[in-house]
Amino acid sequence: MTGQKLRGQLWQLSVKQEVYGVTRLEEAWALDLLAAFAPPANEGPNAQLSALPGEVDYLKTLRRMRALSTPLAAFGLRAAVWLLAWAPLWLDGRWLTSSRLQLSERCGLLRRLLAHKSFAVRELSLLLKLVASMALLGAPTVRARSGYDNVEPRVRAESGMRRKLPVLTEESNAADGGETRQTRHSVAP
Amino acid sequence: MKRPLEDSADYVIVGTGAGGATAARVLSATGASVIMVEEGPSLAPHERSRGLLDAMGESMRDLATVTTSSPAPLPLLLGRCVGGSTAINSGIIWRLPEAVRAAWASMHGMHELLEPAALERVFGTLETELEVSEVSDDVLGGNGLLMKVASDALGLPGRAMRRNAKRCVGNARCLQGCPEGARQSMDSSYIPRALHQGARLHALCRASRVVLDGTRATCVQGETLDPVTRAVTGRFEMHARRAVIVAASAIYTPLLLWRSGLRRGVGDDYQAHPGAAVVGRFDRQVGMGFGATQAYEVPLPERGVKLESIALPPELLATRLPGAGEEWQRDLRRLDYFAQFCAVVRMGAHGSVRPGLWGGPKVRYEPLPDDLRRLKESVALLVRMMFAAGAVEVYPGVASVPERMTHPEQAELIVADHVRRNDFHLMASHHFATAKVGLDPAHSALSPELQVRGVSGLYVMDASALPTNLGVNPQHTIMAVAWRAAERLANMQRPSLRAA
Ligand SMILES: Cc1cc2nc3c(=O)[nH]c(=O)nc-3n(C[C@H](O)[C@H](O)[C@H](O)COP(=O)(O)OP(=O)(O)OC[C@H]3O[C@@H](n4cnc5c(N)ncnc54)[C@H](O)[C@@H]3O)c2cc1C
Ligand code: SF4
Repeated sequence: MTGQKLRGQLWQLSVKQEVYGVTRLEEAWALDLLAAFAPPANEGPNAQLSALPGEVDYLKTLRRMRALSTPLAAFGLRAAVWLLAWAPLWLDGRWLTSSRLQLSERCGLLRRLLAHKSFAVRELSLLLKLVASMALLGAPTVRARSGYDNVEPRVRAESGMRRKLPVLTEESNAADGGETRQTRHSVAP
Repeated sequence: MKRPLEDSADYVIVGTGAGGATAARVLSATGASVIMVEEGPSLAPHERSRGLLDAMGESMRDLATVTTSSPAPLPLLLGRCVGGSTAINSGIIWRLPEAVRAAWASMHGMHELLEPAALERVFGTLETELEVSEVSDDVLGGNGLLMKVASDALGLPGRAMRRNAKRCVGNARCLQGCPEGARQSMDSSYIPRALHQGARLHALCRASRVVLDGTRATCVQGETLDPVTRAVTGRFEMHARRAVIVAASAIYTPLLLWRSGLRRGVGDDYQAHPGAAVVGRFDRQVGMGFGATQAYEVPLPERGVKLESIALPPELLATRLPGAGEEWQRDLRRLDYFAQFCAVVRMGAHGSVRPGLWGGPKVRYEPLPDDLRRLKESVALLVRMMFAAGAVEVYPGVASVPERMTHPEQAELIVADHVRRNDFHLMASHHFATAKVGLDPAHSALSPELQVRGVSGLYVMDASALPTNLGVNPQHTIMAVAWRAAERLANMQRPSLRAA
């Protein structure tokens, strides 16, 4: 191996370690933030969806997503945790991290950040919301409660009913002022 | 040091997506020996993970986190597994629009490759072999049906899509790879066929360089990868007696050429079809989880726009719903009440692809003002369509307008001047023209036969070779162009092959 190649590999390794090695403190901030997107509710309608203790593994999802992403995106996720964790300071001038806020306050903070006027803030907040969604809906029990898969037989029948769809005959589609031929090979009854 | 994995054949093909697999299917049918080299893993339908994160991790490049390097990064979706992007796409099939064909033939020298009768024959064969048919009413699904209702109500030219998934059972999971093997993506069709015809497949092998002997391409070198960690486990060398065909996608083909010292006209003219989506909430069940992932479309070629119904897995649908806490959870409890439509825009912007840090691409691309105008108009139209379909609330996904709209008139807010490009969540899954065919040697990497200029025995047969974007879903065109180029190559070399 040439010296240059070796240096290149060592550089990549050190970059990877920097990017992948998240500290316990950062993970604690991340967990507080991720769980605040859908906080548990003991009563009321939300109790049907929100995660029960031990049902959703937010940190495992975060680690897996960072490992599967580009180094830049993995760094972006880490940056998102820092940005959101210190949002009380840079947004409201309060000397505390979002972990120190009441759950309801943290949730309100997330809402503000998701609608923030800065693209970067919005996107980094959305990145964490994606992690939260992956973790939540990735849990089969939560997914079941979301209703996503409960397509009623009536709806299946309605959307699968024999309907008269426009027939694609030797039809032309002006594309770019020109034509596209979508030749139909079978004819609907 | 461990010896590299070695193999040799008449043709070595890098990449097993729409272009590479089609070339393998055509060349192996002539009796030539073919090696396919693929960076991603080989996954049989029943081996695909059920969970979205695992499935995307297995087959999508870097979990869709490859982006443009602009201030508002645009995610670039690509497959990385045997079958390439076709393994995770929706199977929508469109022939090359005649106006685009005519322009490519006359302005980019593709008249022989795109000769109408030959092209008609190839499209016909592809459509038969890949079981192309119109989405049947049985799997139109609630999402597709609502787009039809909207299209009828507004007098738009909507229709059921044509897809390569005649046996689709409508489980809306195309993005994770069809678990039924119904969609005729390359991993379910041309790769098994090429293997049956004697081709060999080396999966988890990432090509890093095409080796030249003088001005002739003779070998592909690269690294073998661990199936779980993707760490490098060794090296390989695949020797080509006749030709090397690069088909690693319009983002990764230019990187491979660039690293092989071939830079003229390479990576210079990146084009795309970026898109944005709108979600609607209904007061009755829609059932996004049932039906073909994409089923209904409204082509508006005069505007350079195509509108499509598109179902999302629950994890991604949840991310698209606004807010956090109480309001978000209220929506999450009724994920079966949502529909989603998207607009795909044939943008006029041109960008570039170059090697970036850590081996990935550096992609520069930014929509032009006219692209933005058409994007705004199409997203506004999608909002009106959602209301026309009966939505009670529409989530346009545009930052500077209300995140929940309750009246169709609010759609007008989206076309206002203050709405900027950064207010949209764009994504692109159709990439083009980064090693394009052309007549001018100074500005095109490939000759009209798809041969890399100045190098014999080196061809590009994927979306990079196309001279421009085309305004419709591209896989059918990529396959047809690869088919014609491979056919031409085989004919050119057949006498010597026979002698061999
Ligand atoms: C989510 C999604 C949905 C889509 N839906 C549709 C649709 O419905 N209809 C349609 O027409 N089009 C659709 N497309 C676009 C279409 O799939 C692509 O345009 C088409 O597959 C591109 O073909 P290709 O051969 O250029 O590259 P790809 O199909 O992307 O294949 C390239 C292959 O090369 C491999 N590769 C890359 N670098 C290397 C390397 N160094 N060594 C070895 N292998 C390498 C990759 O892993 C990949 O397998 C969709 C795309 C996506 C991502
Ligand atoms: S909708 Fe489901 S069954 Fe149909 S092609 Fe896609 S993954 Fe396969």
